[in-house]
Amino acid sequence: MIPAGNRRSKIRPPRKSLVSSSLESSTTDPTVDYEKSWSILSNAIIQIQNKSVSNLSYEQLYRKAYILVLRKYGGKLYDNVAALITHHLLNRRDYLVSLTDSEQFMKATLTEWDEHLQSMKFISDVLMYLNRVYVKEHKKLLIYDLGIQLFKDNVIKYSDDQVGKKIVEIVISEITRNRNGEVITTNMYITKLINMLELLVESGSGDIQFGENYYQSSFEPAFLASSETFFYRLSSEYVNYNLGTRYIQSTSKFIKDEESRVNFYLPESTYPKLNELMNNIMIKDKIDTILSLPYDQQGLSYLLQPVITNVIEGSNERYHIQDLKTLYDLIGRIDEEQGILRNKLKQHIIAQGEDLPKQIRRSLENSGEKRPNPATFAIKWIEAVLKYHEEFAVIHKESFYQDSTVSQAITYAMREFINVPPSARKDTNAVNAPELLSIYMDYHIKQIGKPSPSKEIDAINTSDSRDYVDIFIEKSIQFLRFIKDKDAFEAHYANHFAKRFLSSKSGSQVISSNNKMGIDIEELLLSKLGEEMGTTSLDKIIRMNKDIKLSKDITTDWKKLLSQSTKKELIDVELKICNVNDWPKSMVKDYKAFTSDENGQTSFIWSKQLRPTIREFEEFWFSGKKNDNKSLYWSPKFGSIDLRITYPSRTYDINLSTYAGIIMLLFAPQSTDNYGNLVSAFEENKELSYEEIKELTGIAEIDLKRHLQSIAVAPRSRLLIKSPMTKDVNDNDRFKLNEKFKSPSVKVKVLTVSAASSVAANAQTKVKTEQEEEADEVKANILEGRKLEVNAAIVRIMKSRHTLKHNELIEELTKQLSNRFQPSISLIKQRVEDLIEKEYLKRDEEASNVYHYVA
Amino acid sequence: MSVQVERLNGDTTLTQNSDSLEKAFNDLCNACRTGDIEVVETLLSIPNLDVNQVDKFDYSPLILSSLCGHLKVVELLLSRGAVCDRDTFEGARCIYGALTDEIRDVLISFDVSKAVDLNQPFASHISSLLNITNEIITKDIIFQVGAENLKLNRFLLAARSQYFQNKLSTEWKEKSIINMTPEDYSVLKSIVNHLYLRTADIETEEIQDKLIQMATEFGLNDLADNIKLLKLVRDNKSKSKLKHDMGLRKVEKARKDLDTFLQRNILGEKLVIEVELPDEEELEDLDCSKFITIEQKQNLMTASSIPDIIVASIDYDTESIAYYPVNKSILARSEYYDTMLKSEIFLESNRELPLLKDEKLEFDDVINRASLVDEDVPIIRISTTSANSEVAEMILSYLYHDNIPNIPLNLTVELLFVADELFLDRLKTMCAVNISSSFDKFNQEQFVSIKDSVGYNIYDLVRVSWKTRSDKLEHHASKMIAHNLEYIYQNDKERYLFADLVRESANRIKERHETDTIELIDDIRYYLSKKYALGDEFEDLDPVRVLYKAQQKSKGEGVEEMIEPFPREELRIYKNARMNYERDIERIDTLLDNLQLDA
Repeated sequence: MIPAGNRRSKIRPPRKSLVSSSLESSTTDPTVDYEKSWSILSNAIIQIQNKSVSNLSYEQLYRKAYILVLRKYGGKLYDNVAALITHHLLNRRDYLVSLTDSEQFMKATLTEWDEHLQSMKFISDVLMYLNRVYVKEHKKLLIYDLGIQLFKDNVIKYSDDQVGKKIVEIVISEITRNRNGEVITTNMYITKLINMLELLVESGSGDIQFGENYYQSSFEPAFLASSETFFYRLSSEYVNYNLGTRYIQSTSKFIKDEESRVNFYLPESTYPKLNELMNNIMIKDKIDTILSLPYDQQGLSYLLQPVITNVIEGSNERYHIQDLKTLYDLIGRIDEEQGILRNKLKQHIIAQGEDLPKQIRRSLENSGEKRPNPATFAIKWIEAVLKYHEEFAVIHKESFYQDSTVSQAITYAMREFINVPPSARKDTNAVNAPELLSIYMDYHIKQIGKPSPSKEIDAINTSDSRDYVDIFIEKSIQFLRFIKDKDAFEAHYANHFAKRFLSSKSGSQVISSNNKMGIDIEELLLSKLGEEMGTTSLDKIIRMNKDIKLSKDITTDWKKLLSQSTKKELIDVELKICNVNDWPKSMVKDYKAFTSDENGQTSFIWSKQLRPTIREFEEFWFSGKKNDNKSLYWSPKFGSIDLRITYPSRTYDINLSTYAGIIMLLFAPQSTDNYGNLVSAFEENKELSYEEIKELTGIAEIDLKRHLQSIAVAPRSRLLIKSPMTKDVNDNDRFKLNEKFKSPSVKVKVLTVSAASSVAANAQTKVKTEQEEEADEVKANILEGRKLEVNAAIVRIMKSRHTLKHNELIEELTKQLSNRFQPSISLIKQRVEDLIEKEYLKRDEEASNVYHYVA
Repeated sequence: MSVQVERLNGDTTLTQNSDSLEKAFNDLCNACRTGDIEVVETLLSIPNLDVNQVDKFDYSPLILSSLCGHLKVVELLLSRGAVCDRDTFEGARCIYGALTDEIRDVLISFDVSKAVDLNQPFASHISSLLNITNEIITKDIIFQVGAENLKLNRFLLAARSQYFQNKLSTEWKEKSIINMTPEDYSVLKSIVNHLYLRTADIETEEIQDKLIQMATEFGLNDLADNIKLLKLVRDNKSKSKLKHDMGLRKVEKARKDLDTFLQRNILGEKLVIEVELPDEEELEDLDCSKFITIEQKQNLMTASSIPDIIVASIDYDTESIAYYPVNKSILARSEYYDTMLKSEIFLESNRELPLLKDEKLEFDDVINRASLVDEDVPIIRISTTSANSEVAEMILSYLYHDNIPNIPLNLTVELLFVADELFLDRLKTMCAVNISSSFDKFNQEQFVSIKDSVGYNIYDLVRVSWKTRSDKLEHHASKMIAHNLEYIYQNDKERYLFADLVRESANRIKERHETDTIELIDDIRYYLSKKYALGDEFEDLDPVRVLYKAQQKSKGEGVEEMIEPFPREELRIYKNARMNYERDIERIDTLLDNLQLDA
């Protein structure tokens, strides 16, 4: 390598100035050096701050700063830059403080901020070497961040936060104006100012910026405090409307507006805090009061009123869907579980539900039904409850977003009012749901059986009766799900089932004639009920149904036999043969009463016209192999007789109850004329006294009077004439055929006067009515059934658990039996005692509340 | 295991479908875990099985065998194309997870990142030039294919291809939008990607032939050759290896291209103007643009390097200023230039660049070179610190292609300062290494000669290292001092210089913290202990310890002469070293006392 010196045209000292040491002192005074460079840099900074940079040289400025740092003036440069910026900012601050108009102030502040950031960017570009070397080594703030700090300290926070406080105050007052519905023109300023406040971070000692920013430390607390006051004032204003819906609407609207306001102006971190404040003050503290407002102040009862109106009056009023939805949304803000809404809904549903029976009765009375019979009420009530449920389903869907917890609450509340505990049933409005459902079903099954559907069915049914059946079954099952005491329903249903069979004309009801499937409605229902409750609990009804089928088969067989027979005196008979054990006792208890007993006391005398048939059938029956060890009893209480009677006007086919038929047969012509032909009954003009009829038929007094009333008093079916013509049948009355009997149609059906009215007519009668008897029996059946079920359940539980404490047992029992009925504690205790007696269980020798299973 | 091998052999015919490939890969991973080299070898013969893929835990076969310590498997995998690249996550994991040092060494010897490391900043910078968002506007030509526009840098095209260079100096000189005739956009795109060192699609068979044709036309023979080679290779393993090699060669070629471009088109066309230079202190503020006439500047603008900026370098020795016609895109590799070129202050003091527009289109990111006038091309100083053209050219060399073939020792410190000024950290390291590798004996001869060859004595070198925050240089210099402490103490002048440095070091620290340590002294003490080999690893030579140990042993076993406690020769050396060490330490303590310092 050629020595460097050889190329030199001039001898110059080596460039040592870069590596200054204390030994080789620089040729110039270092402070003079510094001042020279600094004056260039400071001038440049001032020019940058005055926005005139076009004549600056980046290279030169960078170089100045670079050399200063290299010569260890980094710290001095840094401090001088800071001081210069501080000086500038304080001047700008004075200008800001001088502004009085708030909008002008906001605008000016933002301009200062933007320009400051811009000039800091320039300065930091120029002082790049300082940033990278001195700042890094001494862990100071980067020049740009320093600029932000200086702005915070010398503009915003200077002189006890004078400018800062003013910004906070103005921004809050602008937002408050906006909350009050005023249109403000400073939107953009507000967002930008808030952005700025967020950037003003409190700095620590080193290069780390930590802690809160000015927004968090000063703006947010002030804003939240002012918001709190605002919310209090506004919400109490809303509450003071004393109008629930208006509160709901206003609050919801405000919250919506506030949300978009917050989204627009404020950082996300404030939102939860503000939201909580808003929710607590505007909803949580007020909602209970609002919901509890009375009807005329549009509380929840007002919102739910259309439901009950629609149910009772069949109107189609719009619900307050939107208000309810808004309400749901509002409550959802404070409680996702909707606790308040659920509780209030429950209260209202139970109250409305408990009021339903009264309303129905009133509407029945208004609609002019003189005697509101139990069936009408049952139908109305059940339809009403189902409608009620439907209406709520709509609300649930439209207003409550199909929230499953709310739906549970609705169902719970409905079960609550549907299943009034027996102890509370003394109230006239209380209902016995299991019985009413059974009545309801009974009514509809009968309607379906009728060849021509009544008007009521037409109302439900459009064209196809099949739909009607489906709807009916669906409704029944739906309602059944609300019933807690399913066993009670079964008992009632069994009773109705039996009655339907025994009092029907033909052996079984078949779904109306146009039914293609030909499925027996009873069968259909049984299978549906079986699906719902399990077949074991329907055992009794299923066995009854078997009897019915058997009866049909026997009838068919018997008819076949009859068609081959030559005996003229035999008459056509539909047979209903019931196994006494399976059928309700109230109906079958006196099955032996109609046959001469061992003592020869015959109470009932079959007409001579019927006797051959009875004899013949008995012969047929006992010849059947299956019936070896069975006894057959005839019961005239049930069934009917078709008679063809020729009145002077015309010949009628008359259907009447067995008793009535037997009475009428007494008036049948007994004698023949000279030619051996039967003499017309009217020619015979037989007249019988009450006593004579009683003697000739042996019908019990109550039944006799009732049936005589049916055929001699009831105006439409006055087959006999009674003298004297009083309403009641008395012991001295006499009866003869009514020559003037007329009916518009050939077919006449004699309706039996109901037992109730008959009893009413015989007010003095002390004997229990059949209905009361029935009711008692059903009750007894239920009770008996429960005893067995509790016993079985206890044994089941104990068998698997062996040892159990009393309370645990009760808990387990309640759980197991809950879908059947609600066992009472006293019943359980009683059953436990019973099982201990029967040695299925024993008490622990030491702890009396512990039971052991005895294998 | 042999059963498994048979089964696998049976399977190989089925491996064309991906399911069995996946299974084979899983088997391979398992075999790499267990170290079953037979199975690994069998599996590696399966065609299409990518040995560099990873399993669901991101383990590659190489990592697994490395972690589990199976050297043979590692070697086998490496020889079959498994890649270990320290710059990737997998590669680093592989090396740091190696169970034994032996495996680690093998892996490092296969490490591709040594080459990559050298090229990476260069390659990534070149490819970043193609980015759509580039704050500094440098693109000045558009290749149009149908509706597609490729915005490019003229200088790079010229640098990479003689064909383009010719075109640009003739036909395309005044034209900014070039309609490319082969209307296949994807082919042209691949070519451009190749030129900009991006991943170019050269594998799609449909375009390979066209690519070869076009590459040949553009004089990109390396690209054409690569595609031809690639077309010949059928099996994937060799293909991926080939592609890897090509990647390295591609970058190497680009560096050569840019080196040639720098030498011929920039340095070859530089303008040197002799100037009466002022005193050194005023050099700092010298405005170089004042010494060049408009004609000279305009002439320089038309240089074949297609410059958009001119850098000036003062040469102190020859009293001249050299003007280099260079490219902003390349200068921007230095953070200093990058910030400057983006800075509003710089932009405001220059005219807005003329942008390209025609009847239909306006481009806000393409310069219209034809209407560029002398005012649009700024002249900047390459650095403040340097007043030497040779240093300036080394800087350009570094910026253009990362490589400085030979850094003269006497210019190294100056270069180091410039590198620091321009934030070129890697260049700083290169400078430090240049000094340390030239003086790696630490003997008195080197200690003395350093001043003559570098231009700075050892104490000043320490100061330089402080100024430029060059740790490597600082440590090397400290070590040099530690090794020559005796010489320093015997020589008054040296001792004086040294004491001065120690004082300075103490002050440096006091500036920051009130603490007792003096970094320089700590370093010297550390190197002293190293020099006399007194670290922990030599404790066995500490007579006290060894004696004690021997006693313990003999007591236990009752055998006196089991081993000689320590070799006599070694003990002597140890004693000697210990003495010398103590003496040097004492010298330092005395010095500190004299300086009234405590450390």
